Amino acid sequence: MKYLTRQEEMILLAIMQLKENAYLVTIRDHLIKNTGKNWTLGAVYVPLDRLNKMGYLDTRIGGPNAKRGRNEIKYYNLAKRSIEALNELKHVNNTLWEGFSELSLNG
Amino acid sequence: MGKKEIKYPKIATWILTNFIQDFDQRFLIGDLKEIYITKTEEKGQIYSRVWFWLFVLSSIPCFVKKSLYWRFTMFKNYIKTAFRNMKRKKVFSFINIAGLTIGMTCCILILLWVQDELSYDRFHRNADNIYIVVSERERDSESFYIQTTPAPTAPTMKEKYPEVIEAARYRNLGKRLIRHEQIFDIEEDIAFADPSIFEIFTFPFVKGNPENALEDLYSIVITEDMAEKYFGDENPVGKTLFFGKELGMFSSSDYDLTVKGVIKNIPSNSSINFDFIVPFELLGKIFNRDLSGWNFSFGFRSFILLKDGTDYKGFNKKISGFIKQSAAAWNVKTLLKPMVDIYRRGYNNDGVIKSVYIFTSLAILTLIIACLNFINLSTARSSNRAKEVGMRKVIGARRTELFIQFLGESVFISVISLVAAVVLVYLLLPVFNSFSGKLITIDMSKNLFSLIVIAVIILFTGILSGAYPALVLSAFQPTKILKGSNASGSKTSSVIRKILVTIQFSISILLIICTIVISRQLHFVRNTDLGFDKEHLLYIEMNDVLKSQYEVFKGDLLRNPKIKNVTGACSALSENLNYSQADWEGKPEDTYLTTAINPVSYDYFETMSMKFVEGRGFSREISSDASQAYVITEEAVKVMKLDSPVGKRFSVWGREGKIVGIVKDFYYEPLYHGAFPTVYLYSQQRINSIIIKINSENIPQTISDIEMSFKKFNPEYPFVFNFVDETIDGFYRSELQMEKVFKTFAFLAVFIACLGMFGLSAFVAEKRTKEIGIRKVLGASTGTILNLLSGNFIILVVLANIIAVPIGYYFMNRWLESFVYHINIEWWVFVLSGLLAIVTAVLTVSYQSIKAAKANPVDTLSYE
Repeated sequence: MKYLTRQEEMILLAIMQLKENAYLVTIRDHLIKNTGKNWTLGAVYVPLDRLNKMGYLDTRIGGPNAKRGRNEIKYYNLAKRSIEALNELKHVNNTLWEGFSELSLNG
Repeated sequence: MGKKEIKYPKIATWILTNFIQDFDQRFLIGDLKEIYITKTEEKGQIYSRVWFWLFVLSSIPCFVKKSLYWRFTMFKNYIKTAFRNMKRKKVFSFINIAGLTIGMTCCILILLWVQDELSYDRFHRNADNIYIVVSERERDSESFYIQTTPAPTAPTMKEKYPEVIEAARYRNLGKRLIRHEQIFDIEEDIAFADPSIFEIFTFPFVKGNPENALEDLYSIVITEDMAEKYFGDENPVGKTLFFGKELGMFSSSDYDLTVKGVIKNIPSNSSINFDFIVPFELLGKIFNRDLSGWNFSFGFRSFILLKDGTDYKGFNKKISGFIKQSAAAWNVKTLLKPMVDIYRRGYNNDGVIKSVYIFTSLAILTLIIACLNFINLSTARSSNRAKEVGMRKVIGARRTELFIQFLGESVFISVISLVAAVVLVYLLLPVFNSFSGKLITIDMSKNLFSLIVIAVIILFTGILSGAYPALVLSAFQPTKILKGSNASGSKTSSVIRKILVTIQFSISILLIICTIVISRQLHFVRNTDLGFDKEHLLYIEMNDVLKSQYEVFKGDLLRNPKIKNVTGACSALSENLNYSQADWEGKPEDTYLTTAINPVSYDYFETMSMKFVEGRGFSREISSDASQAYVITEEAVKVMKLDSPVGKRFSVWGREGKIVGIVKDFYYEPLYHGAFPTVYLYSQQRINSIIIKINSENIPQTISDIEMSFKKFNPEYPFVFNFVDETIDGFYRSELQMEKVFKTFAFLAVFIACLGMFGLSAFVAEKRTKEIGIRKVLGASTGTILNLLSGNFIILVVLANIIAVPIGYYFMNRWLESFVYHINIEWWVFVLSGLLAIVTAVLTVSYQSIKAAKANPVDTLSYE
């Protein structure tokens, strides 16, 4: 029963949303914008690398852009394993969160 | 986009590049750059720079931890590999370490010796301000310096010049009997000095006070050793020491002196040495001389202590006419020389600095040979580790890492050798000390700095030697290795190896040549006809009692059948010669003859076995001989240019007489001086030494017979005698030492070179086992194979010979020319040394080669 950690989950979701343009910088910006928290480079890279090594992600080397000079960009996209994991996660979430509405906590 | 305005923080990027060793490196750097640009656009350059740097700096601890961890792991692996490698090839490792250790030991010992020599006279508190007064004279348009000055020099200088804080005269003089109650002996190391000597030099007092030690005229200060010898455990201060008459002097007196102080034993690195020291004024009394005159014939060393900070060169300009002013007859320039320079440079560039240079070069040469050995052996067996290198590279080792690994192994071996060398030095120190006549100790407090320097130098050599093999090893290409082809097959590496071996053997042969030449020169000198027979000749310096009984003593001695002849002389060798100008019949105005004069007794020429060219010696029957006869040497005749000198008028010291005989030249020190014209005359009073020629059988018995006879006439006096040939040998002490040193180094050099060759030949034989096996199958005999394997090496040795010969010839000729009488280097010297080298090389190589040649092809070829 091994679930993804919250950070890993958020990163995978970000990659899903960014589609073809998912690499370290864009993932981080996306996460900062959407969660409002200041993600450090390490907070993004370490889980990202772990996910990659565990086989949840595929990588693609793309050409450099204007800002980074000679260095290429490593793009990530979801592999089959991560899609399955996300599906399962969504399913579990739906089940557990059923009956929750934002106002209901007040009474 | 204005990218040109935005500067990347290059330094930080560089730090990252070096720390992140992932495969992701480029991507991460790119990501960082992108973020940096974005931030610059949003918040400005300063903000983004700060962010970048904070990022890098905060990452560093983690980087460092990681890299340290990995480095440590690799380090453990390297050590494991190194140990395993050493264990697998025990013989090689041993040879490597042994060679390096020997080289290092020699180097350390020599450096210790050099350090001791250079430290002479530095232990005094005021060492930098102590000077000695030197007189500069001209002779044959060359100036030379003498260290003796007239007696009034020191006190007058002190009075006249305010820069001079203290001045003292000093002289070691004489041999006399010293006695306290029952203990007596003849002592030689006696010094006469002004009391201010203790202000200038630092001789710590164990008992007594330096201030008043020599103030009283009849006082004496002795060293700890002497205190123990004469007074045992008692405190000598206040007690009396009998100070006997001067041996060899015609009229001197004895004194009872009070011991005023005891000083610590003088360290061996002091050029001022004495066991006893007495006030200077006593000198005048004992030798009955007036010490206020400005003459050089009875001179002393004058030591000056200058005020701190005085420029002595400027002072020299002031005093250059000092002695000339007071004694116009002496045309000398006066100057001061720093005390600490004297031992090193000598007065006339004859100091020890030359030996220092020679010995240091020897040490460096030996170290070079050892290092070359090391390089050769390491490189040679590198192909044994080829597979390991290949595997490491395949797994991902970079060349630098491999280089560090192998360099580390060399350093490791160097350290082991250094430790072994230090242990060896410790063990060998007593032997070395007795050999070199020093008292070198490894005193941590004093030597620490130089010991560290020595250790660092040697370690450095180890590292340098290890660099080349490490380079070679790390350059192997995995593809070639794993395919099985010869990894070190490059031509250059074997050529370099050959060059190294050749250099080693050249140095060894050079040393052998030097040793042979030095030995032959010494042999020649010691066996040259000195003009007299020095064998079985002993001499005793007589005191007054014995002198007055000379004839009776002589008669008593001659009764002993083992004693062949007895005579007396003023100077047995050259220690007591007088010099003066001679006058003769028909002497031209402009010819001068300075001769040595030796008053002798009857039978002198017979006892010394000197040969007459013409005429005869002094005879008892001819009464005029006692007051008028002269015997002169050939050299004197040459200078006088007389045709038939016998019968001609001759005089020295105003004593008129005739020449009755010409005798062959008498050489005092054939290596250093030519024949000196000498004049002999008969005297009864001026005889100082009795010279005895004894039979060659049962010498100890004869000596004790002489002693018994001596005691009959002189019971209170110690029996001290010397053998003439031993004394002569003593003149060549430094050459003898040099001979020994060269012998040792030549042997060591050859030994180390052979060690190297042994290892190398083993390696070569091992590599070619298959080839040998095939050759044997095809019908080669053991001899052919031997030829094959050794041939290469022998050629190298011959080449080394060719290189070493001209170098050896040049240097040895220069050395020999510095002596008046020397041998010529014969051709067979070079042949002999070459042969020696070749023979040793052949023996070394043949062991391995024979082993390989005898191997059964069945075994060697079955590996496939």
